[in-house]
Amino acid sequence: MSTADVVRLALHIAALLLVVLGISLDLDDRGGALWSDTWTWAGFATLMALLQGAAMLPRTTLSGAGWTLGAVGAGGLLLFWTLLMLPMISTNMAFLVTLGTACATAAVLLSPDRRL
Amino acid sequence: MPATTRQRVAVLVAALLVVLSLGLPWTTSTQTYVPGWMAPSMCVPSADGTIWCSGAFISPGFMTGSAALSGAGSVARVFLIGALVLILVAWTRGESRWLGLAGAGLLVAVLLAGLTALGGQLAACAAALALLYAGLSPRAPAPA
Repeated sequence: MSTADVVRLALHIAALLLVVLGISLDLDDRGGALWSDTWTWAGFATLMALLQGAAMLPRTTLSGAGWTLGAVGAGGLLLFWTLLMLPMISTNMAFLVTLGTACATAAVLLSPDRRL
Repeated sequence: MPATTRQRVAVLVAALLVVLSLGLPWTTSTQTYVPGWMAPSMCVPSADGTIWCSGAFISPGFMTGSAALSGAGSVARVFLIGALVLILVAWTRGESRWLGLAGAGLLVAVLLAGLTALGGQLAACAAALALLYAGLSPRAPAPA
């Protein structure tokens, strides 16, 4: 595994951890995590955080659609960040999700299978 | 990446202005205070020597309207982030047509949010002009 692959793997894992931790912990004393407020959006963000890791899959799996799925995951995270996190950007939760979204976007853009 | 140095500078300045626009004000506050009122109790002596008193009513004051919003808090954030994504796509693919689309999207965002001529909208308009310049200006001639 090359250095670039290690970096991309670290970015994918960091994206997953940061997003899931950000929406699962009550970091701002709001009386509950995002799961207790809007579990549908929290589930969507978790699904997208998992999906962005598909960009790391080898080209032989999923008929070569790994990067496309990863891009959809990163795009979904960007949508979640824009709609829900940006208005509360000064909170700890938004900070973690912002870092996670940036990691996912960078990992997808750095992929050698990039089609965009 | 855009073809000429001027186009590249225009795109970078536009991206910076869009990011600035997220933090600058887009709408003014329309909040007004509606004062509360109180109807005091009133007592009336009866013929049988007792006193009848009506109830007292208190209605607390409250604020109505919306607070001032920055670009990140207004609905324009969807267009601002969309413009940044289109700039990224145009830069990586070298296709300047996305820049014109991003600029047009920013102008639509200003119109949809309502013209207030505040800092965020001015920055977005300046970014739109820079993007339209970079997207619509002719490409550099190919080397012979």
